[in-house]
Amino acid sequence: MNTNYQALPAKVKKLLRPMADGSGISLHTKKGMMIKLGGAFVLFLCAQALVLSVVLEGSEATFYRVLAMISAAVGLYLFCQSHRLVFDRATNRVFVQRSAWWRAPQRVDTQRADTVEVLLTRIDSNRRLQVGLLNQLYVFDQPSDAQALMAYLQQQFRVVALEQVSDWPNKHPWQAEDTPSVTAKSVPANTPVDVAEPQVSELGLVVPIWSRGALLKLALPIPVFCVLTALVEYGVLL
Amino acid sequence: MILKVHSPKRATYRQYLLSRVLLSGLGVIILLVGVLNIYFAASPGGLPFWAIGLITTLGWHATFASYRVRFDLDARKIVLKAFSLYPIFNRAYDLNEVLGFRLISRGAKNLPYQIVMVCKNGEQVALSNIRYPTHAKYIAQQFADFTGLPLTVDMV
Repeated sequence: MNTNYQALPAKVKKLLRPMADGSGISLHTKKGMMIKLGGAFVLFLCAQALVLSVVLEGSEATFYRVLAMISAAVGLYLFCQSHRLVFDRATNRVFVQRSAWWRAPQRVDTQRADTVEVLLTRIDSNRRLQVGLLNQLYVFDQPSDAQALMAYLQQQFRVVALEQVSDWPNKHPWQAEDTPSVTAKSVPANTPVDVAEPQVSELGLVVPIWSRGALLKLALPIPVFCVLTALVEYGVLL
Repeated sequence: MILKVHSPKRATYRQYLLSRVLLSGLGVIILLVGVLNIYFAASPGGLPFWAIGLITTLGWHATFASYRVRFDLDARKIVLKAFSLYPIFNRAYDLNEVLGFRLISRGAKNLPYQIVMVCKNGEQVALSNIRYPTHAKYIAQQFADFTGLPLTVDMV
């Protein structure tokens, strides 16, 4: 399977970012994403306040100048934060690394990588799988991407790889399919998909509460009342 | 929406009574507006007929429509039912065919969290769409506790 970082699919390479010093890889966390998004939103407000502070005059301009300064400070503070889940190769440990450009990285929740459970589950359809580890979920549209991530983490960091796809409430140890190890360029991306297909094909889509037929039935009174109104309007009824 | 437990063997997941009453009160007013519009449709200066149809339908559903999930442990059945004075759907599932419940979020889309039940044939049936994660977890846990089936929380 893909033990080489360069051979991983593009989606997985985007998710697993190598550390600058090559000591491991890092993944984004939900908290980190929320902080970044909040920062981007405040910076967006800052841009609007800047424009208004230029366009307006008098006390209104002063108000927007102050608002622009405050929102720029808050936005930059939030946007420069980094909150990432790091797999460290040298010590084989997993931790959450918090850092910002004005302070050194802090490590919290350190634990051994070979005790971390990585769980492969399906999401709403048979095509989409998600990988969960340490309360983080990573959703993949292609099953092969999820399989590649599992294989990479298992081989590089010896994590406890489990799958919940084939026999749903029970977890089973996950094993990589034995595909011939070749470089990613020569292997089309669908090779692992074909291998994974029998495992996930028996699982169906989510049946929605309101199917199309039910929605049509829900809309049934509209033509009835329309016809009733038209009949009254043209003097057939009443 | 709450899980109302009638007896240790029977429960219904339905709308909270107060919100039901308030929504019906609002719906009656809209329905009345629609019906009056139909009654005086012949007089000049009225709304177009399709607008009257839409308003009346809105009032009708706000007043009468309801969706509920019945859990019956004696008959081993889960029944999903929606009606609005006329039946909309009524789907019954065998509880012996259900493996458990899952709480899922649908990717990064701005969609509510969904409680689904996983059947032995691989089908996943949505039971409830809930916007707030803590409430969704609470309701899903209640489903799992009442039926004694496992629950997995798969939320992003």
